[in-house]
Amino acid sequence: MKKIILSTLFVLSTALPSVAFANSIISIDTKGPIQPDGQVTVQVSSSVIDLGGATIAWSVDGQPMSEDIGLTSMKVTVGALGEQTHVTAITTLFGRIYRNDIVLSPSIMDVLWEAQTAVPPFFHGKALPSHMSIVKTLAIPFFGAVATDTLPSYSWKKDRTISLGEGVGNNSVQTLGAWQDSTLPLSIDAKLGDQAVAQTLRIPSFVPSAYFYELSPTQGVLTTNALQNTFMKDGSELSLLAVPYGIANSERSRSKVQYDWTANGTNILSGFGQNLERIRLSRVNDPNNAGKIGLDFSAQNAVNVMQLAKGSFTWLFNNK
Amino acid sequence: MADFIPQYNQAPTPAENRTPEKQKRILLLTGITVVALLIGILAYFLIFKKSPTTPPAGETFPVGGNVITQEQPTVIQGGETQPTTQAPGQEQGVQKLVELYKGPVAGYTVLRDGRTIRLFDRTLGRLVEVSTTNYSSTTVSDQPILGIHDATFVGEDKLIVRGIDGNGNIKTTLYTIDQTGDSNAPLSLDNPIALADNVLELAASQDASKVVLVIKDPLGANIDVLDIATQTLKRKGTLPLSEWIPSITNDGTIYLSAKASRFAMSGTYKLSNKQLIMSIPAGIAQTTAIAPSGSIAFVSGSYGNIYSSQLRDPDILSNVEASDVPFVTIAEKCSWSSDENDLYCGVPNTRGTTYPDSWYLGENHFSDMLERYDLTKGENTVLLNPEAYKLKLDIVDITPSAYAVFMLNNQDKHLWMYRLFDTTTTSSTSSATTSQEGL
Repeated sequence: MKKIILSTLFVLSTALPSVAFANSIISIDTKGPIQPDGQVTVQVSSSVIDLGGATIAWSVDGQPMSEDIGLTSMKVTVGALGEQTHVTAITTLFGRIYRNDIVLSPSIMDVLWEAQTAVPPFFHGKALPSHMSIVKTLAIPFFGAVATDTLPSYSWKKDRTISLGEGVGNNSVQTLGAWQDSTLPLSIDAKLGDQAVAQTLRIPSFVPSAYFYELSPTQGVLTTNALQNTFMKDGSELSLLAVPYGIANSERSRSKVQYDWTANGTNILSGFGQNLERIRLSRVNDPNNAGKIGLDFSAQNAVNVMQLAKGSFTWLFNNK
Repeated sequence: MADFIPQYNQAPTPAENRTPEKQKRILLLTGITVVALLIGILAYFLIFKKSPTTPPAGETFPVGGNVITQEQPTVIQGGETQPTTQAPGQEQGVQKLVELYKGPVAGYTVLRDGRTIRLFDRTLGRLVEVSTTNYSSTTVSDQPILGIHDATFVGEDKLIVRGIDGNGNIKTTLYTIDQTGDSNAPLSLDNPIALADNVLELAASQDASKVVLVIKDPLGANIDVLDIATQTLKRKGTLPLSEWIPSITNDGTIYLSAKASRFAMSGTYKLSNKQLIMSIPAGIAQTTAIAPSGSIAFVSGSYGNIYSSQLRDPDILSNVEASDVPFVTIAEKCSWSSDENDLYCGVPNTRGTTYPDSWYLGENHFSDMLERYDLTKGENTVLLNPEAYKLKLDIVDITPSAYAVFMLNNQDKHLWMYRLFDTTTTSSTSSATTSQEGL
């Protein structure tokens, strides 16, 4: 029925004067995403008429490019991000002239991820995922220079097959990260009108690690100096903050992480609760009066035992 | 900047090469080397072992009934061979690197007179003013506020401090810096206004009219703007992620850069109508320093496994018109001059394989050069190589002024000044000490 109506329209249109006009008989489209500085195939097609015998002339940004009978597609090199390329196809058939225009705007998409794991306070760096930790992901697409209030639609997949979510405006997902030392493969498709962009990425998963920072009574936590190997400081006490970098925040806040502190081989503090990330060492922890305390720390997620952060360092002090 | 790759050539062994003539040459060279070494040792004692030229005897000042003696600053004489081109107007011998303040500085600002630094000392918990002419320092606020991690001066009369409470929450407070009574009366930090809990990051506009805050939220983060005049917060958006380094231009445009890691892509986005609009597409370990006007941005990161830096317009997504900058650094180590014609950066001598993550973790500290990129001429100048002074500075919080560059050493948060010009003749405080110091 639709084809009959369109054929009728076509027959009627042939009775009109020979003026190029935008039309619904022939459509113009592209194949695949438009990458910045990349090539894209532009094609004209019709469900009503056979374009095999039509003469089609192509121009890009007003410059004639090529013309031939049955030339229904052409490869166009598009510009950089933010630039537009105007492509025009003039189709001549049975003395009628049809004009089709398309504006090509390269699209790209940034995909950011964020691990929900422990970091030092006031941290300007990035949290890293660990074994099966929660990872949030956000897609930020750019669909050329055409401003629109319409929200793009998204499709999120894991391993290219398992859907993690889709829908208009659904620009973020939350999922479990990969196993330790492995990666989580994600693919994201976004569409806005007839523009599309796709992105794939692999989110790594790391072994957690403990970092130590001095807690100063006057300055608070000294985050710019992680204590490593040996740390020399005189005084009768040393207050510390241990950061189990990479341990899931959800279990830390629910006291599902077990902490163990050992000084010179002797366990000095164990248990659950985020408050156990802080400790005050004193010379009592150096019974042999050796002027040093070798400190070992571990934090293990009781729900996800593969998340284990370990660290150690030695505090050296004047023992007189 | 391409990494230096040493070229190794096959050289003959010493035994193969040793002839009588060559032996003479070796003896001659050895003699020259010994003489050069002796001259070097002599020069070392003349330059470094000489008593530093210091201001008058240590300032003493009463604070809360106690008398505190401020340690004198370290003054390091210039005259070292500069590694690259000299800045126009720069004269050999007048450059000086001065450790202006030897306490841990939470934040600082250069006052309008251009000769006084006002800072917040973390140990004292007080405001201190340091003269850049005679290096004297004076504690100027009365009540101490301890446990402060960082302090952001917003203009001369507002201070935002952040600290951490017993529950591990970040507390952020806005203070007004007041002076009651005459000009000799101490300053006070008044009218404290508790801003939101867990302000993860903040940044003030250069004109000190507004501050953008990234506030931790169960959903991710809220982005609020504090209007300094009305002291009110306005929500600009809620985002599903929280790891953002914010900046706000004088016209109120908010840019958010994803926090950087060598394992992740990070780009810069404009927050408009509660939506993120792509501004600078992501790169690995990419960091961005947007100029106060928002007209240009310094971008540094890894692209195709090669680290490089560019200057680009944050309003143009394409990098076609971007220009290359011949150094790589973390953008937090950079600051723009007030006219935005120059970009000053601390540039690591070596970055290492764990860059930039281990630096953020405090696991390692860079030995930085202080460099200036002149945008109008497209010229880069290494202003200072601290290693030439046997120093290692991990440069952050740069503030360039007309005659000097101020910066903090990230390792101990001490304040340093690097003088650009000899301003002896133009100094309004032409005391004997000032003239002697060449300021």
